[in-house]
Amino acid sequence: MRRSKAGESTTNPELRTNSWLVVALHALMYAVTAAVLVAPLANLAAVVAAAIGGSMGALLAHAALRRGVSPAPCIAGALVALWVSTVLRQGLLTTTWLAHRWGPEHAASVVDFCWFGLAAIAVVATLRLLTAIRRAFATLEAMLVAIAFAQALVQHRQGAIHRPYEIVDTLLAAGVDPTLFFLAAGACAAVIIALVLLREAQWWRTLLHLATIALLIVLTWAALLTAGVPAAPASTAGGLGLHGKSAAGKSANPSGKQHSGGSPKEELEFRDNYNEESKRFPVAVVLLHDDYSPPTGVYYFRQTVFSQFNGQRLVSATRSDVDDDIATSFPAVATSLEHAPRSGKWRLEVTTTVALMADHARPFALESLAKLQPAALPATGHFRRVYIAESNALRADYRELIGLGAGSPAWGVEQRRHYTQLPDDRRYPDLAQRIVRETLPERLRQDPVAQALALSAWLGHHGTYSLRSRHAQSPEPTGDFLFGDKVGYCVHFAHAMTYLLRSLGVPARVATGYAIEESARQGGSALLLSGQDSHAWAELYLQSVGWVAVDVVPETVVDSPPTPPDPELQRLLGKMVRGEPLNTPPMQQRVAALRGETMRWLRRAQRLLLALLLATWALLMMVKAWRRVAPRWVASTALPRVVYRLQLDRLGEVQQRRLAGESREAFASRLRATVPALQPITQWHLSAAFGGHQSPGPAELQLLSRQARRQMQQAFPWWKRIIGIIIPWSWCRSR
Amino acid sequence: MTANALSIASPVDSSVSLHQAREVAARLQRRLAGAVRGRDEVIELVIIALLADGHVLLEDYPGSGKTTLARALGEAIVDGQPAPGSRHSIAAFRRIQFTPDLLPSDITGATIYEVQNSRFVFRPGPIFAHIVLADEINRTSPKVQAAMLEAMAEKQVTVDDETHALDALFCVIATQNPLDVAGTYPLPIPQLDRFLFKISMQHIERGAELEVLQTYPQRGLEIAAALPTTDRDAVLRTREVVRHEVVVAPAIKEALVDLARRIRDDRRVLQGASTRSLLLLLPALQARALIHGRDYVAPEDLDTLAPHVFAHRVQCTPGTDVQALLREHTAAQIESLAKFSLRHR
Repeated sequence: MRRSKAGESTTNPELRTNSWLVVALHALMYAVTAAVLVAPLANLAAVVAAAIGGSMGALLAHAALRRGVSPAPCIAGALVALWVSTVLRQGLLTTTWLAHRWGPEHAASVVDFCWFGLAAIAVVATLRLLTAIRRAFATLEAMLVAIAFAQALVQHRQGAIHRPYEIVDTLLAAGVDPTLFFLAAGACAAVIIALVLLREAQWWRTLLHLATIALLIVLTWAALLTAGVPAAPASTAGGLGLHGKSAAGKSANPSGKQHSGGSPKEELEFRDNYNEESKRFPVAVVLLHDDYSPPTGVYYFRQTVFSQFNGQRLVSATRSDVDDDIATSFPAVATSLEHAPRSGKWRLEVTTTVALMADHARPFALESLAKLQPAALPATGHFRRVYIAESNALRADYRELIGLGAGSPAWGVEQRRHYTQLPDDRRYPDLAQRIVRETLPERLRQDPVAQALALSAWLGHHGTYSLRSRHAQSPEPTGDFLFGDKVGYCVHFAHAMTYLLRSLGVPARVATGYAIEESARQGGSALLLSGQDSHAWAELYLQSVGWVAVDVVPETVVDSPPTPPDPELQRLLGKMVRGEPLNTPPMQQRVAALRGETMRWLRRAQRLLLALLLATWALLMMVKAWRRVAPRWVASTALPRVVYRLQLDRLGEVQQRRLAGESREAFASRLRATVPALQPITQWHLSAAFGGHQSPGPAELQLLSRQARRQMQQAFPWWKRIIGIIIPWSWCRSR
Repeated sequence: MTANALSIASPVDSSVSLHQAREVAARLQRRLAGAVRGRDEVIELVIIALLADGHVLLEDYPGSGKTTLARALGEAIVDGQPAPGSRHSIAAFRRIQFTPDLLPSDITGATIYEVQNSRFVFRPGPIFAHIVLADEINRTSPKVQAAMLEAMAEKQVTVDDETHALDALFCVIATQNPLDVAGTYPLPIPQLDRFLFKISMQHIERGAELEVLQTYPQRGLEIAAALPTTDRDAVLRTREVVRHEVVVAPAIKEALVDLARRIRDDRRVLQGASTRSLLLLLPALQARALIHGRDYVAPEDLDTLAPHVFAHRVQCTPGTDVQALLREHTAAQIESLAKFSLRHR
């Protein structure tokens, strides 16, 4: 019963008799496709689940069809299963018992694993079964695969000179034009598809496919030559800089929800895992107008500060009379920051141009920003926003700062209290005082700068830098870090430093932004900042100097140090910001030369193609014309054949052709009502071909030919004949 | 196109004889068409078989005009003089009803004792005729079938160690009923091979059937009787003309061989066409060319005759449509001939 039913419903017997090789290929293809599709959406476990699910879906569909199960109910079942699992996933993610049992992160990744696996099975099985019902649905399968891979490649579409993507960078480094590579890849795909399509059983379908492909190629070519290679659209991708919950990676951070308070706009979070991959993307280019070397060897680009202790942690200040040296928004006109420290003995006026390549919530600039003004966006399309910042950057060495008092005399009690609040934990002052006592000589023990340097050195010596830490779950992560394993990253160190300073009565705060070593300039005036340069550090306030960064340099670093920016890319982007021509870097020259070469080659190929087409057309027309006039010139022995061929040509022009397997006599007999003269012409032709003794005179044949022409003129409309005459290849189909 | 189309006699000898041969064929055709309505295709095939010195097996329903056809053919060929060398006068037409109890001697004839002359003489059986209608040939025993088929192949019968030649014109039109097969002895393939054509007749068209009824008071044979006849010698001469004067181009012969090979190579075919069938087909093609007013064999002849010649000789795997198979292969051959004809030589 089931078998017979399957026989009726499975209209595609080919699918049921697929060889194991084809089935394995399908499974493999769907595994890769699902993995590629899911990769940007979820973590590694879910990607693996999707790959397994994709291959399972293909295998299950095959097994079902082989057992003769009807596809339609299977599809319905798969879709219902997909819906149920989606609902279940939502339920599991919003209820708490699973999270309590396994911990939120594990729970989320287990649920993701299950759901992506199930979804892949359901979707792939549905597609396979649909194809079994109707062959045309194979288009859907092909589209899914194409989209999966196209979206993986589409990020390369801007030529991506400023993005370290694997394919393009490698190609550029090797001196190959990526445009050419992608065109070649597309051409290869087209050829493969064409080869697949050529397997059609009916020749006319193959011809149709070939014609379509040719048309597409011609259209693409024409578009490419008139409009050029598509230009990069304004990029909208963002989320790389520090803006709001910017650096939040793919996985939701469970610790983020525990702290509420502070500015809703920005929060500095402690997290256990950083996604390092996303941090490699360039976020900004800074041009130094003056040659400035920071005394610490590091450029600090301050964006946000966190100084208010809310009882649990440091957040952005809610008071208006503190942290007023920070620009809160991008400038529309030139704006000066009144409370910025003055230039002079301690500080040097440094002007920089900052070009952002990723969205930022607020501007950042070299520390102690004084004036901000907008600037014109370069035309290259790689930048979001450009502004010019005048900073009064620290020029003095720490040694020169010794002896200065902490805090500003202008501050009131409230402000000083604001900058010295810390957790109510005796361990901070105890530790701070112990460090000061143990490491500083007597005369320096009360000096804030000396204290800061001592604390920094101690933290650097005892702390371990790692992006993977275990403090985010703690209600007081800084204490957990400092009095625990001392494994953490810059945020931990900056907080510890700040709390320790505050515990000694020194006004301090945490600043975030970017920090990059001077050596990264590599002699140029441009600095390329990437996500991995984002940093948090502690600052203390020195009388008449202002906020001074005191960073911790951990001696033990678990993670690989940040890679310096690619010097060529840095220089190139600097040139872009300045609006200078780009042709100087050797790589760009090579690319431009290659691109020019490619276009020249394309143009040459186009001309060649055009010439070939014209030559083919001319040749076909010449042959056609010769066949038209041949009866006047050929020898009388060949005349019956040539005259008959002429009739075939004329009839072919009005779409009258001998059918396959139809004899010449039968063809003539079929047309005897419209073209009676064809019958004697056929007779004479066959007589000449097959050894008949009688042969007509040339005059008689010419007469018959003229008769046939008149009869055709009467039988077929003039426009049909005109069209037939225009088409150069009509004679090729005479048979 | 009938024989009248190209009718101007040219001074060339072969042309004269071709013209006369065509006239003979045309007379036979007219007489038969007068006697039997709506069977033009079958009539043509029967005349082709006669001119190609072959025999015909008609598969048909009772009452479809087989006997009339055969009798009309017999009566169209008048024969005043017995053929030289023959001791017996030859009847124009004989009909043998094949029954299960028929004996070989019932058809070949027997030696009997003549009391007046006190010696044994041979009394020729009904097979000694120009045209023999072997009605329901599959109803008789294999022994009789074998005797009949031997006579057809050898054109002679042997009775009591004495061999008697049959008439040179001897032509058998055998019939069998395709449906009523109970109690019959189906002819095996090697015996079917003796027939040039096996023609499956269809019921005639409405117009032709109506015509038969409208001419009712007058029998078909009476109508035909008024038409001019031909004689035995003319038919024999025509055979010679067909054999020698109608050109079979090498391309046609190649096509014939290729066709037979294609059929044999087909996976659906268990037993292909024999070389003898090709040899039999050649004069048939020539005869058809003559009837159609040509002095050369054209692809069309092959297209028309190949199915009739091969259908009963080819044995296929069960479930194969023999006619479709033959059409397919013939069409391929026609294609190659069509290509050939347009080629420059």
